Amino acid sequence: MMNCKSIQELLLTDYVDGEMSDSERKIIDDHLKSCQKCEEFALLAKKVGVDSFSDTERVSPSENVWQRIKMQVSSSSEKCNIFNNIFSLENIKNAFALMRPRLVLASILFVVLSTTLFIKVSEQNLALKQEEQVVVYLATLSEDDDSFDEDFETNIEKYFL
Amino acid sequence: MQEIAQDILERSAAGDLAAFECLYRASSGLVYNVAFRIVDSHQDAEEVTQDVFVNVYKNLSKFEFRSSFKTWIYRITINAALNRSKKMIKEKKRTAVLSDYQIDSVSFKEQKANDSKPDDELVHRLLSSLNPDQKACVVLRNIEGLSYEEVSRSLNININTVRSRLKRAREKMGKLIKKRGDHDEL
Repeated sequence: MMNCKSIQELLLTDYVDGEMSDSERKIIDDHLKSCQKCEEFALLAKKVGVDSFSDTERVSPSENVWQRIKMQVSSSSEKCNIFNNIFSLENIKNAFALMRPRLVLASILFVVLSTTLFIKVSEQNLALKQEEQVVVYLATLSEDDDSFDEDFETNIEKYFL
Repeated sequence: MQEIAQDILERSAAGDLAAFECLYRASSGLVYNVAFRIVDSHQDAEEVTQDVFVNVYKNLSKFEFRSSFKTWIYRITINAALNRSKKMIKEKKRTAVLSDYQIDSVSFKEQKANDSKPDDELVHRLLSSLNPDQKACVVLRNIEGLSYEEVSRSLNININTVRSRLKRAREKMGKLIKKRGDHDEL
């Protein structure tokens, strides 16, 4: 059994907008027959939800609007076409055909130069690494010096000491 | 809005201006009406309409037909109109030389120059009392005649949100009508 509050919520929404099934609508209608408060509310809901907007005038845009839209889309289309014309598949193919021998030569030179540079840099890095290792080794030698000087614990030294 | 043939949509998406004009003629009324009811000014409604159709022209090729074209164009229109409306509100706050009442009268006078029906005066007052989200729901439901499901898809909100926004909007408008009724009786 629905209370008046729930009924009134439905009156403001689904009932007045025709979003209810026939059986649901019948339940509301039966309630309205016996509840004056809800019946008055239903009249106001219909006035607000339906009647106030029923004769709303439909307005149309002026012809200027279409002219402005046409101008705007045409100019953006032209820019797009210029761009497409320059970078069309045809033009790109032609450019490659023209440039091919030079492009091939340039590519070969690039590969050779990059490889040479890479090898040189690698060799330099390797040399640097080896130098570092020597330095580290020498550094460790000097650290060990004192202990070496003090370490007389070979058999011969022990014998004489 | 009359049904738009798939062929027209495809040719418009491909940049056919003649097809795009057909599309415009078929749907500009819907766009303009929704825009006008939200921004409440013919000049702004025309600018919103222009923005919407330029947007449609640029993006029609990306429209995947998962929703109907009608739902799609309603969504673009509502977004454009609400953005414009928010911009106008910010502008009004920034240049608050005129009082709210005077500003309301100015936009209403502009409307009155074109619309002389007394019903429109009531519609204007009722819609002015609502926030943008409520206004969008009322415009789509009451003026455009969309079902709850269609409103929900156009605004990309849950159907219960549509219901609750309509309920709150009508409660507000009901108080206004009651006040008017009491005033008329006096």
